[in-house]
Amino acid sequence: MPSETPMRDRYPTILRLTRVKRASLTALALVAVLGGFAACASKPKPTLEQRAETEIQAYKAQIEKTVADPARAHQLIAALDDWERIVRQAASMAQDYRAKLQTLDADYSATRDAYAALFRQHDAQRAALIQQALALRSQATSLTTDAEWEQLKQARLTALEEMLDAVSTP
Amino acid sequence: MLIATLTALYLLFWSSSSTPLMSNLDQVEKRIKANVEDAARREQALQIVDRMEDANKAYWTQREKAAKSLAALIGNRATQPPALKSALDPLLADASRVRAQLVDLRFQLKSVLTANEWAAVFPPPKVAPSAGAKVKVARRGTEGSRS
Repeated sequence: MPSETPMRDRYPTILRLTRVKRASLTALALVAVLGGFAACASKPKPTLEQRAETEIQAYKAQIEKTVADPARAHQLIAALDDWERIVRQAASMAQDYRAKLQTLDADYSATRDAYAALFRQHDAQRAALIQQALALRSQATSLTTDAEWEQLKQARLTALEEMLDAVSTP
Repeated sequence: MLIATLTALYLLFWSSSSTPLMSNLDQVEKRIKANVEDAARREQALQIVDRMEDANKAYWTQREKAAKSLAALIGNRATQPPALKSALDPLLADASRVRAQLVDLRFQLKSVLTANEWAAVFPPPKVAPSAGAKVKVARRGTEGSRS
């Protein structure tokens, strides 16, 4: 005949196991919470490049949602890629230009001709990019209706704006 | 589309006509005070820096006005490229004028400083020009676009 554990003996065991389980669960929860905090704390802030990519993808999605005609939406998305390329080229051009100017500024023996040559080069690059930017805007207006234009024009690509601002402020 | 980004681009085209001599003028002033012992030349140099600061202030005033007018034109779908270019051209011409003025001031400043003083006031940049252009230019694919 199996011996039954008296109730008075079982309760303490159950209670003791529950306490152990509770302690384990509490510890696990604590580890999870602390781990979560640690993960949040160590999660790197997105870089400018990553933000730019995210914003561009979101804008492409907005174009697809706003422009019902797939062919026009596709052309607009292609124009957006061209637009991004122009922005990056402009930022790179300005950064390089500023660095060259700083080198001239620091050079006591720099001549006016050296400045003039740099300005000519910069102005020519700038004129080419302006033409491309004007053409792309023109393309965007022809690919959208008034309503689509109004919906799409207010979007912000803040990461690209930051790239431009970083090199445009003196 | 993308009024703010396009405006920022045009402002870059415009503002890149300015010169980095305009930046850190407070530092330039401090370095002149610290490194130019001759009082008369020091005063002359500081007056030139004041004129650079005036040009800097005028730049910022003009930049704010330009940002508003360009954003309005860019946002209007009916604005044709010639109209936009007509609005941009005077800004670029004005920027070139300011640039020339700043270069003149730069050479005036040079005329009152010795080479050693110049080196102390305008230390060489830490990054070489060729290494300065770090902005990624490579074109992305059209992933995520419709096929």
